[in-house]
Amino acid sequence: MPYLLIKSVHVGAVMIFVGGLFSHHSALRVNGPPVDPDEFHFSRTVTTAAMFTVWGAGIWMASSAGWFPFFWLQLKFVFVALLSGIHGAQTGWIRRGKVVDRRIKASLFWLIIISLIAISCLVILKPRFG
Amino acid sequence: MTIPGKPGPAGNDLRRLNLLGMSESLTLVVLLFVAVPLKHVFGEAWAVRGLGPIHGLAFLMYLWAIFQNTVSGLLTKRAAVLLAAAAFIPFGFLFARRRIIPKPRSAGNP
Repeated sequence: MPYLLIKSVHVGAVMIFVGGLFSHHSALRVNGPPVDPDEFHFSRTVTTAAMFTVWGAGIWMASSAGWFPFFWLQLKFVFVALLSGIHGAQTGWIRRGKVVDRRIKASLFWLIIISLIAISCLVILKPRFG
Repeated sequence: MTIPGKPGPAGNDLRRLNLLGMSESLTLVVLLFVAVPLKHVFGEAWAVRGLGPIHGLAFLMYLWAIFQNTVSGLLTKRAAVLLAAAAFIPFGFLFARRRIIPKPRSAGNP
């Protein structure tokens, strides 16, 4: 029961986190004027809290189920780290009011999409490598 | 030695970095000086099992906060490297924070 409860919290937090990722992606400007950081203060806080919840619940689940040695989970961590890094960069740029290069913005969008598809495949299929 | 930071108008991000750094430092100290001796001297592994993942989470959150504050321009790259290195030393953050983390500017203190 606690496992399913934590899993529900994890999935809910993932949805909020991913929503925030795309919301902040849309907010980034490729030409001026730069975005007002105060406008996104609440959104940044909620998305960051959701990201920390995703990590905490994920680590708890992996620890209780003994999944840390499995390669699919280790690979998933790489994509989670990538998404977390993108969120850090997005919030940092919004906080700074930075105008982002169009190619960087497009690359980040596809990185988010590819990471989300990869994470879904890894979690649902749990492939065994080797 | 003071490493110049770049204080901004809002100090929330720096306050969060400070809080996460303190959490990371505290969990590391308890893990090293309480949980590990409990396991290796008294054979009680429950503290390490419980505190290990908590410290792992605190460490990840702290590293993320350093990255975010560096991208937002509140920390210099050098300060970021030193703060990340301090995470590996017990009480390292407590010594590092006064010298490295810039004080947030309040409205009355521009």
